[in-house]
Amino acid sequence: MPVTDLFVIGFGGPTPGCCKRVDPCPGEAYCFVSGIFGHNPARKARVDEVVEHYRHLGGFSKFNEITQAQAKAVGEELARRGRKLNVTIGYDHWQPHIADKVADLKGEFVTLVMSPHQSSVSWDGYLRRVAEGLEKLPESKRPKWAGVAEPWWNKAGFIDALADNARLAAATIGADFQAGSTGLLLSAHAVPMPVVRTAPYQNQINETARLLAERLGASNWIVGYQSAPSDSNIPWTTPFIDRAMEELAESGATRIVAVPIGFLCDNVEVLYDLGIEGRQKAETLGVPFATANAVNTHPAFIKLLADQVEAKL
Amino acid sequence: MGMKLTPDQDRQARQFLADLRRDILLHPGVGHSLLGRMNTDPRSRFDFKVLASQHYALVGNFTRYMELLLLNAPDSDAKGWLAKVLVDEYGERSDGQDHAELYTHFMHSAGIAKGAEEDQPLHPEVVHFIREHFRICTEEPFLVGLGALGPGHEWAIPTMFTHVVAGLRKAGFTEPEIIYWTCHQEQDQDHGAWLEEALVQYCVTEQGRAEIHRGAMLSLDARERFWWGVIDKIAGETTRKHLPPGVSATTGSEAGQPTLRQLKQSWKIVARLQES
Repeated sequence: MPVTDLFVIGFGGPTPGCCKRVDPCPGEAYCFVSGIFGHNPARKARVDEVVEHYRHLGGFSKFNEITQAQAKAVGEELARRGRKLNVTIGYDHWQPHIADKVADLKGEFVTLVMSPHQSSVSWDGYLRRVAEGLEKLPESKRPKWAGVAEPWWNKAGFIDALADNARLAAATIGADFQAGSTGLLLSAHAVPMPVVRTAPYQNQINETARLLAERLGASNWIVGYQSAPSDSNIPWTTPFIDRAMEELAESGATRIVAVPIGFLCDNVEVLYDLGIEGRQKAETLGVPFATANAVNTHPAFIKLLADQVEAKL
Repeated sequence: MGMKLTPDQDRQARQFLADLRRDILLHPGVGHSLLGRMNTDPRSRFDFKVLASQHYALVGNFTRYMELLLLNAPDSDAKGWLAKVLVDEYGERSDGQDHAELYTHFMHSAGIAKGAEEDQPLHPEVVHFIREHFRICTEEPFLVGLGALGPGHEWAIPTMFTHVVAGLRKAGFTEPEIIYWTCHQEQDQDHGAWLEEALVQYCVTEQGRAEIHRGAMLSLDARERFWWGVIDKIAGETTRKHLPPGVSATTGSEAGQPTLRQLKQSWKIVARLQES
């Protein structure tokens, strides 16, 4: 049987509409964030802190809207190539949930993981939800899992899209990557070292960063990790972005352009943690600062995703 | 037994212990997302098979840490508390079954074959946890060790295990299958209460308080890393189990991960006289 369905899976973000998990409803952002950290008094302060980031941006996230646009665009690109598939989307931390959407898949399906770098808390974590969804169904009703699109951290389409967005951001502050006075901050989500030590995550990020810096001709660049919980004392991937920005400034950067290489859409980490807190840090350093958009629906990125899926059909 | 404290010393010590208890319950090792999501996430028996395979190494070594600490206990009060807890760990209030035996019963229920308990590849963070506790109990001052095995365990476990028990019940385990977990919810409440009385006399100096606090936090930092290791293992193994042919999980390759049996063969725990 040929592949009939494309199953796009990702982290998810809060959208309007009560999830009905908690009564009375504390608000979508609260349910979303506490669903990630778990319902535990020990993490209440951290949950409240992150919820405030969402409230600052209006209480919701564009994550799902952008992911839907990405999935739709990939489906359309595949249809143009004569490979029309039913496109279904599921999220790890918001509705519709990955495990629930498995039941909507009709025949054979290929999974597209919306995560640029691989670790157990993202890539494998989402795939695990697919497995849970399959197990929930009686064997006779289980769709056949035909494959998983390969990751793309080092593929030209991803690097091209990042580079385009980086140049657009640089232009807003008159930054020239080839001059050492422009610091290029390449940011990704911090991950605890216990997870990183068994995953290719950090190596893949370093590779994405190196390829992007090469593409931009940037001589003064650094990888920085962001959005780690402030209440954890164990080692996480470092340097965090505030220290990375200090290092850029110490190395002579008089402008900083941040590019979110670890994120695929303009979610709260990009808009708040990098866009607002990063800017505040730049102000303390006295340097102009610009944040590039995530790749979102950049045509080169969409074409790449379609290539990765098509290779599995 | 124990030194006589002035009312002021007693008040100050108990305030410190109350603050320490709060710090422990707010530690991310106790509030780890793996635990906090036990009630909301789907948790399968397979998930708990993986958790069981990793946690066994902690269960099997706990009495060794305590025995080592007992050797360095400075007085009868401290020895008394440690011995009392040890007797429980040896099975005094568990119908003669020591805690490791109760735990193997749970492991078999979770799907680990009899005789294979010590042959499970261990995540590096599991090995770190054990190493860190042997280090604390042999190289750090006695009160750091007491802080780690006392408050760092006994005040944290009832809360952590309450979450685990909720997940186990949700996954369909029966009460007899999870007795290891439920008995700790109760026994460690008792151990925690005994502990408070044993600890008070050591909390009258700044140094004593600092050492106890440091020990508890060192243990909980290792615990936080341990839970991340378990998440890593669960995600890797579940994914590996279900992926379509030709696709490999990205994480948790077990190549080079030692088993408890191998660790036991390569580690020799000795108590010896050191003269300065």
